[in-house]
Amino acid sequence: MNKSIDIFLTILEKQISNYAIQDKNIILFRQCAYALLLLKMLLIWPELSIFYRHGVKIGFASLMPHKLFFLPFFHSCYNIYWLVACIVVGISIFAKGNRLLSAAVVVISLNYLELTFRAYDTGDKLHNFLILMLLFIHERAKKDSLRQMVNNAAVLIIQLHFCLMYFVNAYGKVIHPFWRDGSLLDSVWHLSYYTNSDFVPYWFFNPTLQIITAWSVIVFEFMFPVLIWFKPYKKPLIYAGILFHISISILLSIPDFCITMIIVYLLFYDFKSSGEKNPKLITNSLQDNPSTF
Amino acid sequence: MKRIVTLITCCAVFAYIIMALSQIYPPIFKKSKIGNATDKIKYRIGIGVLFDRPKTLTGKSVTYRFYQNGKWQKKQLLLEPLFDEYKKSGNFAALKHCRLDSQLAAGIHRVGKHRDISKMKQSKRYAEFMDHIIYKHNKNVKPDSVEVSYYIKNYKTGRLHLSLTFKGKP
Repeated sequence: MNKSIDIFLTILEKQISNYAIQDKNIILFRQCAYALLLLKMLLIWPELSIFYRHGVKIGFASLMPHKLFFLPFFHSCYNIYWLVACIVVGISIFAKGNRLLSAAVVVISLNYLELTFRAYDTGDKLHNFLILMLLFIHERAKKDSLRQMVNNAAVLIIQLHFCLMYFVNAYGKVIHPFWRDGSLLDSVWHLSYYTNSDFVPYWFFNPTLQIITAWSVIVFEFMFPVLIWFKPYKKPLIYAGILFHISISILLSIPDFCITMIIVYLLFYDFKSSGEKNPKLITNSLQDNPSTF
Repeated sequence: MKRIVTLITCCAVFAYIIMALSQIYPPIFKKSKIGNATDKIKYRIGIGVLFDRPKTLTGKSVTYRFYQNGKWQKKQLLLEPLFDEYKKSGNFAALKHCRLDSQLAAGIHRVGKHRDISKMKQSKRYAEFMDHIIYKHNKNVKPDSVEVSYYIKNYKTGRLHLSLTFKGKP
């Protein structure tokens, strides 16, 4: 029994070690995730006082690192704290995975999440999860090193997380008859304070088109977690996904969620094929570790 | 050390499999302690189904007015102006503020409908809502009384149905 477990773990260890991800993907992924956080922090600033007061009123203040921000000491200088936090996130975009800065960004991301309590959505939680996982990801890891293995494991967990999100959504939809017959889309296109009615054309309410739209969404969400692991389907799925999320962002007023989802695609995108046309794009680590799993 | 990384990854993969299966498992599992814990973890890390229940897609409109200086002020819409501002100028802060107000209003509506208004007025949600509405929507001036009306919107007819209304002293 112990021997078989040992063999299983050795195989798994080898698989994780060989699951190489290009530096280019990681660098871009980190920069985009941090840039989005910075953007959200700057955009929310005009209403910072409301969210901060709300957080203080419901008793978020504590000695936990991400809740220190709500302690009485900061009540008169939370704007300065936010400015410093924005600067830290701004520096982190170009810091190439400095551990200390990555840890600071995790705390700041949690600050943002606590601050927007009751106003955050799935996208904010996913974004926070990505920033937390970036703590374990480092650029320019040496081949067969422990650091590279941790990188690979962290990337694999993010990818699994993302695939599970799609699977749960697809399954959650397909079991409901009102999704299968498309009728729920009638409510979605009327959804208060989400639907951008200026961009929803009248023919979106056509029952036949609603069935087609509903099934397109379900099929895409079911197919993505399965087919994304096969090279020939990667690019079409990623392009379809980007189009899908941009449409949702415009029609349903959830821009940050959609950008977060698109950022995760960076970890699936195979820069190798575009690198073959331009050899400068191929990093040394890629040449050493072709993507296999 | 590599073995520890392997074990942690293995546990994470296993947890994801459990979470995926928990979606398929029958309701008995969902009501169990493991099911509850899985649901909480899924909620925390942002794994859930978007737009899967007609209940979450119910249209709503909230109005409020303050009684101060011896008279009732004009009724104001709570959510529409914020969302319109986002639509008009792309103001992300207004969108988030709209989400906050929407959640706060939905919170008191849920308590008020499921229990009763007197219990609602003792709840934390009510205190949260009142504090927010006075701070943001009445320039932090405490009025003598507040009236809030919560309407459910019928998409097909476009009509509003009054679901909850109450007056309260802040």
